[in-house]
This record gives sequence, structure tokens and C-alpha cells, in this order.
Amino acid sequence: MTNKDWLLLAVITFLTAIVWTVFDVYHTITATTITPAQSDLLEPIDPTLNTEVFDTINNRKD
Amino acid sequence: MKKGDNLTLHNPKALQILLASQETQAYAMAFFSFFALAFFTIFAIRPTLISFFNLQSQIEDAKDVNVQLETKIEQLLAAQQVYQDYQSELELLDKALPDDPEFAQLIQKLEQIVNDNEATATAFETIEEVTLLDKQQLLNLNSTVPNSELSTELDPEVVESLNETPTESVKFSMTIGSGYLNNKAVAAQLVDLKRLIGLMALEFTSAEDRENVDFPIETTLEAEAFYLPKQNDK
Repeated sequence: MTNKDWLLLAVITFLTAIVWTVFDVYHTITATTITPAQSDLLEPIDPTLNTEVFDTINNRKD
Repeated sequence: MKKGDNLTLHNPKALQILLASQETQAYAMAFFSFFALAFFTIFAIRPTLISFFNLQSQIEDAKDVNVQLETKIEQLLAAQQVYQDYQSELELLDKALPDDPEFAQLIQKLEQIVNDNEATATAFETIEEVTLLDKQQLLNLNSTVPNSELSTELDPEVVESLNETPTESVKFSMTIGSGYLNNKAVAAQLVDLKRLIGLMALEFTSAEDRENVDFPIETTLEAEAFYLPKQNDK
């Protein structure tokens, strides 16, 4: 291998390391750290109650 | 020393000449610089950056989770308040959708409605299979009496199917005989019960169209009485 080849190898290694680092950082930024268990807990609930149902049932016969 | 010269590196003299050349020194410096940069990028900069962004991401997610949990707590408190406000009314829901089939009570109610309207029930049959015991009773029987005949009948598939369906119904077909208005009143009263009963089919037959002429009008109705088995959260 000539000197140029060695230099080219070093440059390619360096560029590969840079690209690898950039992709890893991107993956870290986009990945969520919220676990599925936490997601389940965070599901919102609707606290309102359709109270008309009570009137409807009340108006029916036993 | 010229570019492209082949040198024998085993020869110490030739190696000395090679190392002494400016071109080799320049290339060596560039090579080691890039190599060092790559080395530090992989083993120092990359882990540091990943840790940094990971921690930042965790902090942001934790803040989001905190906000959403606060909202959820408020929703739960609101739901608890609503539940307390309407606690006395909740038994109405149990009447509309009981936990178990309440088949005996259903039959009694049907009999009462028919009698109240001066009609006569001439036929009654259930459509499809009807679970007379509620799901929980069946499951308890299966678990507490392992050697009984029932337990042998309740194979795992049946137990699984019992656990699957959240809303169930008792489907039945009933034939009543009386005048048109009485039969109509029976059907109307049936769907006006506090317990949820849905009419699937209703057929009026006059005396001319059939052999049995005890009643002027015979009505066949198909209905289903709903119930809501309690969910097993285990």
C-alpha cells in the first residue's frame, strides 16, 4: 500500500465514524423513553357521564 | 526518493530513508490525525453525545409524562366526583344490564306481562344456548369442584369463551295468543322494561291463517335480554 492508500483508509474510517455517530445521535433523539406500561397509564379517561340514560331507564317500567 | 518507488522495508537503511522523507512524514501526520479523530469519535465523542441526547430526551419525556399524569389525576378526581354524585342512580344500570342472565326473573317478568295483558303464552323457547348460571358461578364451580361432572364438561375452551365476550344476551322466542291490542301491549311492555330487552322479530298471525283458532291473533316474538358479565381483571 502506498502512502495515499493509507491516508485514504484513515479518511474513510474517520468519515464512517462520523456518519455512525450522527445516525446514533439521530436515533437517540427520535426514540422515546416512555415505556409501554407508562403509555397505558397515560391513556386519558372521559369523566363525563351520560346522565340522560338514568332518566330514560327511570321512565321505563320495573 | 521518488513517488512510487518500491522500498524493501526489511532493509533498515531503506526504512530510515523512507521515514526521513518529507512526503512520508506529511502523509504519516495526516494519517495519524484522521486515525486519532476516528478513534476519539468512536470511543469518546459518540458515547458522550449519545448520553447527552439520551438524558435530554429522558428529561423531556419525563416532563410530558408528568403533565399527562397530572391531567389523568384531574380526570380521575372528576370521575370520582361524578360517581359519588350519581351513586344512588347506579343501581338503575344494574337493573338495565344485570351481571348475570337472571333467567328465572326474566321468565317471571314475561309471565307477569302476559297475565297483565290477559294474553296466553302458548310457546316459549330459547334461541341458541342459554347460560342459566352466570359466568362467575360457572368459573367458580369449575375451580372449586375439580372432580365434579361439570368440571369435566367445562373444558378450557369453554372457560376461555366465557371470559371473552363482555356483553351477552339471552335470546328467546315466545308465542302469545290473545287479541291484537293485548298482544301489541305485551310487545310494547316487553321493550319498555327497565331491563334492556331488544325485539328481533315480531309476527302477528290471524286465526284465518292457522289451524289453532283458540285466539283471534297469535303473536310470535323473538327477543334478546341483555346482560353484562363482570370483567375479570385478574
